[in-house]
Amino acid sequence: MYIISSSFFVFCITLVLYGVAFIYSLYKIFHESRVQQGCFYCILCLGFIAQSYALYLRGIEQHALPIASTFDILQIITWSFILLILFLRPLIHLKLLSFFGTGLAVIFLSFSLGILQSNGPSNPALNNHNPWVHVHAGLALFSYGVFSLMALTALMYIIQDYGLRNKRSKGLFKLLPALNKLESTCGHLLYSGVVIFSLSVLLGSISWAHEPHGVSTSKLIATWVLWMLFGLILYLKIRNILLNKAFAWLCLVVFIISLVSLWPIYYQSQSAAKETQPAHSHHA
Amino acid sequence: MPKLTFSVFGCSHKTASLSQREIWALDHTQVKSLYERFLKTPFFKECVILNTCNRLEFYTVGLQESPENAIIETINQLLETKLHADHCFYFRQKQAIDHLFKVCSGIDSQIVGENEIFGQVKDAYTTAQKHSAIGSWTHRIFQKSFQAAKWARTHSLLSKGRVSIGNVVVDLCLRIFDNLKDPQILLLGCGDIGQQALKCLKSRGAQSITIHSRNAGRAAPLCVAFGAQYANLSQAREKLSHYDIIIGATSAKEPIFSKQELEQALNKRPMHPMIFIDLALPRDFDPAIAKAANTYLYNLEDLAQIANENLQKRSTQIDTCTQFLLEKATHTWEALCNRTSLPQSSLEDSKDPNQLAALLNSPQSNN
Repeated sequence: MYIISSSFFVFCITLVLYGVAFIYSLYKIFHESRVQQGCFYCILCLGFIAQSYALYLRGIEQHALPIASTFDILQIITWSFILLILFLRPLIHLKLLSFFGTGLAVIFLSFSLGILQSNGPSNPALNNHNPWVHVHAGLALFSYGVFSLMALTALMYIIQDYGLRNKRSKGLFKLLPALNKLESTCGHLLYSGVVIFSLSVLLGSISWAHEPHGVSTSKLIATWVLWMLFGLILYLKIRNILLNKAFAWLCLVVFIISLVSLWPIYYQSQSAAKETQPAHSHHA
Repeated sequence: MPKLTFSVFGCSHKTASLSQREIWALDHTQVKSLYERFLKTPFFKECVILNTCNRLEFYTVGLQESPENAIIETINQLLETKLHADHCFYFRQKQAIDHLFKVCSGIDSQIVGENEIFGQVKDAYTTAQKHSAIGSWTHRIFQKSFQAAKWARTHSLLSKGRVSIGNVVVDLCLRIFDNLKDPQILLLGCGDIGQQALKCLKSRGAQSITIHSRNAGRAAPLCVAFGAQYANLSQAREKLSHYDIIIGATSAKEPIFSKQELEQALNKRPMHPMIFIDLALPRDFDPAIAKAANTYLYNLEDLAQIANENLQKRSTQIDTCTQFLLEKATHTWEALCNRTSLPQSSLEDSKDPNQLAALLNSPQSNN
């Protein structure tokens, strides 16, 4: 029987607030009326504050950074890209990014609260007292937040391109940012994400070199493959080999792959850790 | 049975597709030739030819009850490709007047409520005057149509919203380019519609503009007005890959650039999108280029479709205007019948064409 924790309740409030922000802007877009930015961002900020508090409570409950289960991972990724939306808004100035962001937040939070639930099993591999492992995990999840925004801009590019090719100009198509702005923002986010992810991989590799049994081989391979995939897209983009729609599609597909790969990697490393734990305890 | 008939025969965006309309697009010489031919025939006493990119209409006053066959025959003698009756419409008497009123007020336009058609009808009327093709009936009917159009525009919100091609062009360009300061713009041709588009682009910050026209003399004042550069055709071809926005507004019968030229230009700039706005009829760009990657092509029909997307909001205004114009048309038709000093029935039942011709040309009817 699951016990409803206080953090779970606050996560539910977060979902409601993000949901209200998303439905409000969706309604306005559908009726082609102006979204009241102040109202929208007020709800979004409240949601972000609620989520930050929920993560704090979660950390207190676990006596560690709340990154030990897929539930936590989705929460942290959502928290990261909402943070980026709020702080990078004046810098990026991309219309509808926050609308798409709240949409993705609603999907992630619904999935994590509805299916994964907060009392699910945690990853024993992260019950590690080495702080660098936690920094590595935190950076990796933050890079996922950056990649989430990259995927959203890529999706916006694909929608805008579709609208232009099919001569659609109503509603969402009218409000989406210009293609060249979307492409350059997507490129910048990919660059930032790769830098953060590389740093995380570097820290993880150092920790792995010291403690090779702490990480499963499948997780190690998957991490390196993803890092190389994102790195390859960045390389092709910088060399002007991969551009426009193909670039947007690849960004989106690789992000989905990286997201989906979290589950098998997580469960495999969880079972691998469980197998190694009795052996360790037996040795002890 | 001959009788006095005011009729309109022609084709428009409502009856013929863009590809069909571009076959029948007439140049000035052909229009002049048509006037001469029309006025030589015994059937037509007065005639106005309205020739725009969206319509080719012949307003005639004559003694023939159904002049459409005579019109088709005359046009087909002039044009290589035959004007097919299936793609045309025909209205007579009050319905013809009502149609003209709707055309003039912009209700019948592809972009509902647009203003350009008013000037185009006035130009057509002036051209007909130069060819001595205006008589008492066409004079009165067209003057009434101008009055009705002015009323419709002044007393309704018909023209409210994005109803100009120029604004639609700007909106489209801003969906591809973040601003209009950086993109290189090439305008082909110096026609009104091209100028209108350029004016809107300039007002939204466009800076790098190049104008190409076969007639450099016509392009010169435009270059000064818009702070643009002039390029002849070979220069435009050479630098084709440098342009981000290309607007075609020429009266050329064939596409300005071949498909190969455009493909070569696109291959030189795979990383940058390119938008082609085809405002010309016949079209200036091969429709096949739309399939190329990173290329967007919009023609007149596409632009009209976008402009009409906010039409629903103005549907009440359109209904009010249509009703008013119908009342005006009825009134004008009745007034015309009364002005001939003959009962309407005698006009329609007369069997003597000479008598009707005399009536048409009588000083009383010319008042």
